Amino acid sequence: MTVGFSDKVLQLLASVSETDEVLTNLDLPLYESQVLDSMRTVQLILMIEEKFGIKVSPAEFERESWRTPRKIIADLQQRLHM
Amino acid sequence: MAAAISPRRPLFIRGSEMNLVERIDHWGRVSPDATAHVSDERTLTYGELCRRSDALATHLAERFGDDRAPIAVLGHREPEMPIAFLGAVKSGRPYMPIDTAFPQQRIGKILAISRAALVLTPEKTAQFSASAVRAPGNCVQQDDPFYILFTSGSTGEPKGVVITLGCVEYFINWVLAEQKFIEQNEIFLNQPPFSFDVSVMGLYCGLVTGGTVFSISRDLVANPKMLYRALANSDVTTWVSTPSFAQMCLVEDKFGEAMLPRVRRFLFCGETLAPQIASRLLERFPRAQVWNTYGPTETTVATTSVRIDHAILEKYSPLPIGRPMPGSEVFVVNEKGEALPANKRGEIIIAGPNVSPGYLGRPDLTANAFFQHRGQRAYRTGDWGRFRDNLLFFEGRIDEQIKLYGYRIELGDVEANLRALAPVRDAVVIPVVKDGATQSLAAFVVLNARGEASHFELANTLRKQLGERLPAYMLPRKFVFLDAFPMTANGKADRARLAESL
Repeated sequence: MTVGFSDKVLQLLASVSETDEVLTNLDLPLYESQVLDSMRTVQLILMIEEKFGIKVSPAEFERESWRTPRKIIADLQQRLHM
Repeated sequence: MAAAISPRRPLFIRGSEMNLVERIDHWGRVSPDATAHVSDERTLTYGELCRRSDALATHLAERFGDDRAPIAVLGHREPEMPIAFLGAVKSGRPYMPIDTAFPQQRIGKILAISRAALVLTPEKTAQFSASAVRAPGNCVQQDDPFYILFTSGSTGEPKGVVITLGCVEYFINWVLAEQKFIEQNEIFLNQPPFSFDVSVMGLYCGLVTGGTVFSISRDLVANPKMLYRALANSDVTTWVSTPSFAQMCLVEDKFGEAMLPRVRRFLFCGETLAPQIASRLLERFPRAQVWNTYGPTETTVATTSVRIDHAILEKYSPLPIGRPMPGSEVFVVNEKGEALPANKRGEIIIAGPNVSPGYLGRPDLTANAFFQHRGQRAYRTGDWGRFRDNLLFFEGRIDEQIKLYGYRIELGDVEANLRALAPVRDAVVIPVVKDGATQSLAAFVVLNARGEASHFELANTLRKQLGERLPAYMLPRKFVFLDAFPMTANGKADRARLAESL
């Protein structure tokens, strides 16, 4: 189940950022490399809510927690189990 | 409607004969401690703004004498930005706002084209505005250039749109008459950078009415937690932004009347306003009005407007872009330039005192786009449009210009700059459109030599090199490498086929 969830998250991320690099490089610094920006983050938040029902509040959002694909997966898994 | 607006002397609140600059100075005298501008918690009072712009103007006059070459103002949201703008015009020179997001090479091109007399950074402005002196009396006049804004040019060279004091006064006066702001009471949210003419709306409506201009900085946008906190503390009464920015804010459930209890108006400009954004704002802010406005940089920020209420939302999708400002003529023409009746699609033409005198140093481009119509300057917008029920509707671009989150981009500009890169033989840039709006750019590239690098490495390299020439918002998200482009029968790259393949 965990493996499937990670894959789905990465697919969403690849779709929003329009690069497949996030599928293989889980430590890619997303904001530093400009793969993600504010607009894309918001798109990702919307897609995550749609796909997983996880609600991320932009007002609580810290870029550091979504710095890499690996961190996004970890953050979302944590939210799922809260 | 407001019949008393004359093209030569716009009425400024209560029929005063003060021009826009004098109006701002007036607040400097009567309320020197009131906040004129704030961004990232750095405030500028009216007293400081007026005193320091006076000092800067004196310095510029002494230094440059009769030479009225433009003053480039390079910065982002520093208090020195409005000081530099006013200092320049008080000395009789136009300012050219250049955001620090622009790469060095692009700035270099702008400086070369404009032959700017000086580049003012916040540090230099601080230095030159230090002493308290009386301003020299050679402020820009009605027909003199007030600001010059550079926009994307289809051949890769940016174009400088010259806007006169008369144009700005005409525009601001119209917004004031329509919105009836309360003097010394409003806080204007200004989201677009100063290099983007939508910022003129919030900045000068704020300064002319003695209100406070609250500017959103890049740092805030990058940090949503800080952004919402800043918004909650801002006490904004009039919100001026692109629709994309409001759309982004709406994702946060708490973005609503509780967070911004004093907001009474949303003024949108710069890109298409989607009905869902308007309707969601009306839901979240039941006491606020939503206004849609339209106009190219060449006719001073916006020329048409309409209040979007439930009646309009029920009747129209896409939304209308509104009715023309009094004193300006807006009409649609066919290929022969003949005015068309209602319900017929044609190119939108704008004529009036708000139309720019042209592009800086480019009589060729100016002659193509501007002409005289019944004794007034007129501009061919390159937009398709049609009138219905006395409302104007926007129906797309005639050429390869697009809007991305409100930024105007000539696809040819991105293509020309891509072709200038060493690894690139040829390039075509296509907008990626979802739900009717451009979300990003895709670049189809034919390389000089394929080499061993991975797709990701190649794309990154090109994006990085392009980033030295163009601002970040113009960089393609997606790169597709081809051996050759599919061709049309005319021997040009088949853009439609490339778009389909996305």
